[in-house]
Order: sequence, then C-alpha cells, then structure tokens
Amino acid sequence: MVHRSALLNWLKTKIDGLSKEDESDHVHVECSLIRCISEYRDKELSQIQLDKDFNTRLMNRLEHIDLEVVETYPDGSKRRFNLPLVFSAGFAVAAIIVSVSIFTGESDNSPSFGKMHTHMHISPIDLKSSSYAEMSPEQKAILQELKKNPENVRLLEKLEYYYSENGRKEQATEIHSMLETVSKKY
Amino acid sequence: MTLREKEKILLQKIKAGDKYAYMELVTPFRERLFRKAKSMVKDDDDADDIVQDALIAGYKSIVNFRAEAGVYTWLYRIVINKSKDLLTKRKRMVEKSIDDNEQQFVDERPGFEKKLELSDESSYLIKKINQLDNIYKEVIDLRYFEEMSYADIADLLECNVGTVKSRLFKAKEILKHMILQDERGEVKIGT
Repeated sequence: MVHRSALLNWLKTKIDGLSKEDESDHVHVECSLIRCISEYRDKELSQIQLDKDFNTRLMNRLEHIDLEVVETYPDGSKRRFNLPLVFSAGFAVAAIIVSVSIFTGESDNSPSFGKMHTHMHISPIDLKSSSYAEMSPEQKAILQELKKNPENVRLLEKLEYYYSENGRKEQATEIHSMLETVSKKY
Repeated sequence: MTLREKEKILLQKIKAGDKYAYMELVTPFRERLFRKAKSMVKDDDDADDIVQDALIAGYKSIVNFRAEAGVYTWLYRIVINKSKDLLTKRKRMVEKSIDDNEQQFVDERPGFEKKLELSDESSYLIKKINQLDNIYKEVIDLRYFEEMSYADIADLLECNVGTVKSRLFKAKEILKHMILQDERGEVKIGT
C-alpha cells in the first residue's frame, strides 16, 4: 500500500501543472496516457506466447485455399476468377450450361441439351423431390454421361466448392444435389 | 517506405496468389489480435483458434479488402466478430444447461485487465482508466493501445469521427478530474 502523501508528492512532480485549470491539463493527460499505455502495451505483448506451431498451422490451412483472383482491365472493370479453374474455365462454363439446361424446368418437356439455354430466371426444379423416373430421356442420358466421365464430376465438385466458398449457397446446393443424383445407382 | 505503402505492395502480391506475402503481412499483428480475442473470450485456446480462423477468413476475402482502411483494423474487426460468435454459442450452451436465474455472466468489458509490473505512474493511470465507463475505456484502448486513427476507430465503432473525438475528450476530462480529486485528497489513492 502506497501512502497518500507520498503519492501526492509524486503526482506533483510527475503530472506537474495539473491543478492549473487550463488547456495544458489535457496535454499532460495526453502525454501521460501515451507514456503509460505504451509501457503497458510493450509489457503485455511481450508476455503473449502464441503456440510455436501457429504459423505452420496457418500456412497449412492457407495451402488448401484457392484465392479468388481479381483481374482489372484498362477500362477499370474487374473480372474475378478462381485460380484452379483458370485452365478449365471453358469446361466450367460448359458444365454450367449443361447443368442449367438439364435442371431448369421446361414446361413443354422438350429436349433441351445442346440449345445453350441460360434460363436463370426460371426456378430450378426441386431435385430432392424429383425422381430419376420423372426425368426426360435426354436428361437421363446426360446424367449417364456425367457418371461415365469422372472429370465432369470433379469439375462440378470444384464448382460446388467455389460457390460455397463465395457465399452462393443456392448454386452450391443445386450442384450438390446434381452430384448426388449422378452418384446414385439406377 | 511507409507501413501503408508496404501493405499495398504485399496486398498486390497476395491478390496474385502469394501466400507467403500474406504471412508477412499478418505476422506483426498476431499477438495484438490474440490479446483482443482473449479479452473477449477469456480463454487462450479459444483465442488462438479465433485468430487462426480470422486470418483464414481475412485471406479468403482479401479481394474485398478496402485499401483505404488499415489491414490491422480490418482483421481486428474480423476477430471481434468471431469472438462474438463464440460468445453467442457459449451463451446458447449455458442457456440449455443452466436455469435463467443461474446464468453465468460473460465479461466482455474492454480494458487493461492484465496485472503487469509497471512504473508507479503507469500503474496509477491504468487503475484510473479501468474505472472509466466502457465507452470511454474502449476509445482509449483503440486510440492509445491499438494506435488507430480516428477514422479507423469511427469505422470500427460504426459512428462518426466527431463522436470518437468527443468520447476521447470526455474520457480525458474524466481522467483529469479523477487525478485532481486524488491530488486534493477527495478520493483515497491506492485503494
């Protein structure tokens, strides 16, 4: 316990002039705050001991993340793409078109494959409630093609991951349902 | 080269896919982010996880980072959000297991809680700062400990710069009066 009289003396020397009610009081408080918190910060941060493997763990996790890269064009417009998909962008677009064509509701039930449909305004059919038997022969054929080629499935999985990582859950769920359908045995 | 210029160069490298540049960017902030998380969740392991998760989340959304804000302020905000998420989860778990009138209080107060060997002056002032209301303690912490700009503090607290300045002024006024009271012997010092 520090005696009050001793502290009063100390206060007078350390924070001299505080009793003068003028603007310089704030300067004294400001200086004291900077000095004191700087000392506090140095001591507190020096005592924090993070896990030795902190950086290793972080780097390992970073290795599994594919960063979305933004390319800025001279006109200021931006184009975003995912690094692993750069070399398969054409396939990805093809997969999207195929998936939209297959899984977009068509009232006339006409063959849709090959028409390059992009009816994004049409609600996708509910895959959970749709059975394989209800699909058109064309849709079944495409599903069979998807099953035959693991590359297509891998591409769709990438797309699902890409959408889920970018917060586009609806599209990710749709692709997931599609993959589930493809993985089923008929 | 200023810190901000260095940050911008590192950001360009990161956006081009350089993960090591990201490590270089965030390594100086680890301990300060950990301190913030720890002050909120009161647990070393949870704070460690929160900082890891925050740095991963930061990396994932680095393309959305606004260069006008400091990288540290941005990561600091992510740490706060993740800490709040954890506190909310804990609260839900407590609500399930304990009756309402027995719920544990989660201390989210900002401040300078750690007992450190400080000089007499610093120790005295820290004690006074801890007596301030949370809104004043918070701005003191952000301004003097985190060394954030007024604009960054305003952004973080979702208020305008004027409010930040006004709170800081008020905080210093209160501190000044506390010290003067002690000097006049109106309040017993060292208790």
